[in-house]
Amino acid sequence: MQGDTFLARGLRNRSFVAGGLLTLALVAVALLSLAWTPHDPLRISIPTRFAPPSATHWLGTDQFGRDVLSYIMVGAQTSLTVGIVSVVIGMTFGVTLGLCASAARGAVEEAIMRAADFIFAFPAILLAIMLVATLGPGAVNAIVAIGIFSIPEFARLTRGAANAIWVREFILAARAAGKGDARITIEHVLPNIASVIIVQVTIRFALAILAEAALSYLGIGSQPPTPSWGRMLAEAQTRIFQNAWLAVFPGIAIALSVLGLNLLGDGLRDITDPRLARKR
Amino acid sequence: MTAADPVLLVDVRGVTKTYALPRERLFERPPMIRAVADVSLAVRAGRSLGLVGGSGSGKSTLARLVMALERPTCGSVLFRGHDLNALAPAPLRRLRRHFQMVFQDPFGSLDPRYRIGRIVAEPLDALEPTTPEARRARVVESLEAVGLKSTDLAKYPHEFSGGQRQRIAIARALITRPELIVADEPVSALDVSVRAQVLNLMRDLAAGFGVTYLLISHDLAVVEYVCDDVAVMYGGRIVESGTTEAIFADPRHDYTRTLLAAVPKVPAIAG
Repeated sequence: MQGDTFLARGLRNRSFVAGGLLTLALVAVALLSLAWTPHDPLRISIPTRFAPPSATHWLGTDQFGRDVLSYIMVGAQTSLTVGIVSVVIGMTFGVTLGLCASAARGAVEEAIMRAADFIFAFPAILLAIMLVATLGPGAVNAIVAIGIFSIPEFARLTRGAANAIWVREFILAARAAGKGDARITIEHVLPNIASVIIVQVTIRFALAILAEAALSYLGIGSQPPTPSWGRMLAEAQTRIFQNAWLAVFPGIAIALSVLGLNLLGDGLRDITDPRLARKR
Repeated sequence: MTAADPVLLVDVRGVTKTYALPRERLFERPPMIRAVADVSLAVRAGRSLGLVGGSGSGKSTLARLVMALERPTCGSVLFRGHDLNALAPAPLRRLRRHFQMVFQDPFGSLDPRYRIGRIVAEPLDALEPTTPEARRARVVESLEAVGLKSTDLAKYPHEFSGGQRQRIAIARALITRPELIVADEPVSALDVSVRAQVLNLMRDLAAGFGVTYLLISHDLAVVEYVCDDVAVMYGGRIVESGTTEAIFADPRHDYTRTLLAAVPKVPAIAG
């Protein structure tokens, strides 16, 4: 197993392949929507409102006569942006704090980890709502809120993984070779925990997409007319029995994206940790 | 004084190291364990010292104290007259090129994500950065000194056997041309057949590179093969020390006799 390339092991892992394809599809749709959508996603056409799925409007139209497929495609951009930016925020601060805690040990480590526990004690979505309520609704604030609340998760994971590396003998060897804590952290600890962090990134990415949908559903995420899957659900719920497709299609989009990213994360974890893969 | 003694490499003076164990009760002081108790010893250039003792005798702790990887609770460790624990980080780093370490576990002491070239060059990169050409030349020289090829530079540690890995670890320790190499159980994780090769290599290097060893081992036979002097540790203290011949010929302490009795007697083979 050890001699295999990363890709060869990846292609044998079904979660990785399925998750990778779904995630690629999400990215492809978002990129495609920058250049082309079947209809103008923002064009309002009252005469054709609530049209069921048909040859012209594959997924039907909403209460303003906007093409649902085009709207969902553009909504993928929102989801991806929220995911990328909030994960970058959470990862940058969380990993840095976790590495510092692990390198510093003692009182500093305790302080950082107890602060993380403090944030953990609250349900994340509730805190995001609180933050957005304070900062005011909007896509940017939603992104920041989601990002901030993935910091403790990254910090805790990083600290745990880094602590396991710090006790290894090659760290002692690096210290004997004259490297300081900062240099050991960057040159030895970080490369050895990178795979753990990458797995976490995919999972947090899925959670961020879900959180954005939840915040937009509650009306405090991205604001109209920016397309958002969560707000599509919110607008569709009053007509769920008359025009079910308005709720079903954005729901499927959210579910597939989150499923894809989670499968990708699971697959990556199995690939990077061969012991775990063999147990199944 | 130490400055007057040109051959004195390491001077350990009355060193004690205590560790706190995990608390048993919340509001009581955590129990302490004394790993090294008031130990003094000296290593002189050209006379390798073997530190022998059972597990838990504090010999590995002493090795880390000599390498300035741990701070003594009290006492001082001097290298060539410099108190290692009184030095600021920068001068201590400059001094480190003169003393390097080889670790026990050849599987754990090499970063699995580094290629051999980078592993061997690590002390060089950290202590005396140089041009890429000079760096490569030093790495190749060091690798060849331990019997590995320059084609091994681009390989990863998992491609090597235990004995080869320990050679890589020795090449790493050798690259800054240190006067002292602290070797903590360098062969105890190796197969018996490979042990002799590594020990022979260490002896050759002592002659060829002018390296002096502080060799930590639980195995008196290993120490006898490489070292000129022996110190026996028991319960955190040095209970007996002297030249290797003297200790082997006439052990004074009960514990030394027990250790000696555990060495298998092999009839001398011609040569």
